[in-house]
Amino acid sequence: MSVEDGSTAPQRRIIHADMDAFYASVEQHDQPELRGKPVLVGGSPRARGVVAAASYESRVYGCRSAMPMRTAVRLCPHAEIVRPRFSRYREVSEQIMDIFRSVSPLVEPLSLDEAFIDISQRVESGETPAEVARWIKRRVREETGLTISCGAGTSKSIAKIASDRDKPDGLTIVPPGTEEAFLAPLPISELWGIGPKTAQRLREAGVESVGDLAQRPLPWLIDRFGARGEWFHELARGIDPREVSTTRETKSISSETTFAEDLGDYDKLAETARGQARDVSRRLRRAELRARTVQIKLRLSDFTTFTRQRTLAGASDDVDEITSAALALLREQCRPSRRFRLIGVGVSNLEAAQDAVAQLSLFDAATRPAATPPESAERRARQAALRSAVDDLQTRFGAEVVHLGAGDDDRNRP
Amino acid sequence: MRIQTSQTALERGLSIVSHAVAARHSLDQLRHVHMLVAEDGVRLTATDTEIALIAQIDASIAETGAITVPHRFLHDLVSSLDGGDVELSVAADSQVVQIRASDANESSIHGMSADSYPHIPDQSDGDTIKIVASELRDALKHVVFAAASDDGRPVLTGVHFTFNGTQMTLAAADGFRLAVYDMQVASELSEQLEITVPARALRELERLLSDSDSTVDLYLHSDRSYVRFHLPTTQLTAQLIQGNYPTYDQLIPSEYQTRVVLLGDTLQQSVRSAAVFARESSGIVRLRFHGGEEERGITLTARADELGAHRGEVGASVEGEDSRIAYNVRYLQEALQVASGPAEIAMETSGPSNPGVFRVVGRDNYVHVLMPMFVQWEDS
Repeated sequence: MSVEDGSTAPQRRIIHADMDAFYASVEQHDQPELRGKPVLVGGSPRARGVVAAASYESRVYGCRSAMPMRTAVRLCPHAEIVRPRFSRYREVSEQIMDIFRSVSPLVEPLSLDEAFIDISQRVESGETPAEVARWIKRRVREETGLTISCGAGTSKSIAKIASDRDKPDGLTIVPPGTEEAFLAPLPISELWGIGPKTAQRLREAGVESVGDLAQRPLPWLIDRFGARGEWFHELARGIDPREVSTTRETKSISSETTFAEDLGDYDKLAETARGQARDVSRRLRRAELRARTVQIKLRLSDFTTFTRQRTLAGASDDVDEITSAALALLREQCRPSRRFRLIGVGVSNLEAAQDAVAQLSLFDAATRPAATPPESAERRARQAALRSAVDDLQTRFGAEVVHLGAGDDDRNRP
Repeated sequence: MRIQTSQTALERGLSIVSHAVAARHSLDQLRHVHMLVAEDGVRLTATDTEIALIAQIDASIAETGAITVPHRFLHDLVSSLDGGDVELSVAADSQVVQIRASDANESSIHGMSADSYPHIPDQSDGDTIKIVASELRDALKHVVFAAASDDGRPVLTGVHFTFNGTQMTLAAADGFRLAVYDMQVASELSEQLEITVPARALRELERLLSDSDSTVDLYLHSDRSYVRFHLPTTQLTAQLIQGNYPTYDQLIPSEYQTRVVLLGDTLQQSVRSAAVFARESSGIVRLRFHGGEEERGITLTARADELGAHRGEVGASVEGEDSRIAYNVRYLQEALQVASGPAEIAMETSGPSNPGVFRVVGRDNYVHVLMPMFVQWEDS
């Protein structure tokens, strides 16, 4: 074992905290009439919707998240289907992330409802992982009325697996030195980092449990899985040196829509793309980033999927620039014979807004008399304040609540 | 229909019209080339409905007629043939073209009736303006690049033509730059007039003009819906872009704080080195203009995050205050491409946030306005 009590390196202690059936629980909390009932959050079964979250009551019938809604409804015909309200989930997410950050500054969110928290410091100063985890669970219940499951261990991998052992409202602590024993009986698919395909290959080679995997000699694994074999060997022993990283760098931002019915009409596609560009631009500004590349993703009726991209004149978070690049790309792909099943707008090549520069606009220059002092630091600041106010409102009340005047795609500036 | 022509003439004609073929259009006709054999010659036509290209080819005509054939198919076939004579024929009431080459190649291609081909408006009622081909080519080179490439604001994807007496003014702008070029034409219109021609059509026109030294007739239909450029053996027809073109005169600064003059070539060379770095980052080139007694000139700097940095010095005559400005390197390079050879270029600025002006010294018929990039200047 590399991690042993009293070893020279300070012991790492990590909690993985994961909300229980998050979207479904939020809906059951907000709408008391849904409590105790099977609830499926997601799109309509008629419109190729997918289950975004399944309440524990519906899981009894075999419903799972990411399952086509139609399948879930067949398994549980009396389930209540609820449309997702992502702005509400984001709001709850911010509450729980704040609780995590009050425990430790080292918080790595994995999604809206789960995060790693490095609590090494608190354990060193005398608290036990169980005490810290119980405190988190209590605060989450008090502030949101929802339950959360926590797992604690000496690595991210162990903590992640532990939090899933005792859901819902679970608490699993894996004390240092017991990792291998904890992992041994688990099926290999439970290991974080082993996907369904790899799991299948391992099973075909006679490896069913993590214990089986731990017993395989390293050369055997390297022979079959190359460099990843070494990684599996360590994972099976509970060794995972990955640190809790607070800065997960955003590489790209995108927004996608699958249509209820395939669409070919440019105007209708453009309408969706405009909304997506608005969403992407808003998220860029929230993250204080600017993008140099805009891409669209398209899926044809026959499931052929492709992307097309365009480089902007300079890094931008401007909704007009992103929209017009996306629409130009879209127009090139629209042909009378083509119908699309999915469209997405995304940005990449991101840089921090404070490093970014702006290409000044010719037509803005025309609106001010030549004699006035140069530019627009003031105008830019006002624009930025306005955008941030709109972003704030949209985050709180949903994207439809407010738009900039005359539609964001208004091009008829003087 | 029956004609005899040379493989080279036919291949050239098919190449010229190829740029107007809508190769992936679902309408068969738009993927076809239209072939019209009349007493006075053979005309090939292709159109994607936005532009149409017509090429006349030399041929000896045995029997008149018309047909449309899949363009790519015919073009690929003709390109594969040896030089030499080619005979094309269509039997009466048939829509199959027989192609017989001098090397005993014989092919047949299924076409469609010419009646179903889109109507390309013909010259009937309108105005004609005569322009010297080489002058038009020069004007296009100075202007077309500044038109917008995305269609966020459709009029900006075109080049705006203003006719006033014998003066013709071409202007193009996207959101960030503007190019304006004045020239004289031989004929005068009855009224002052403005039209917006798709930049794409003008790029095709530049291509057609590249080997022409004669005059071009610009024909403008009386309903102002399309324009046609007549060259000796080719014609280009384009739908005009409707909508009000922005008034741009007020965008051209009338004064400056700093004016820098130097050889266009010298500056282009220096910008090319800076571009290597700028392109890896945000595309910014920073220019500092120093006047005074010593070291008069321009300092160009560019940075590529984590890769390195570049600094270049170019001697230049600097009039007015020391100043600085940052440009997108691609726009700067395009602004400079108009001054090649021994031409001197003048850059005028009025501070880092105001439009910069590019002129070719000795030619007051051209101006290019470019908006700078808003950047943090570390030493301020």
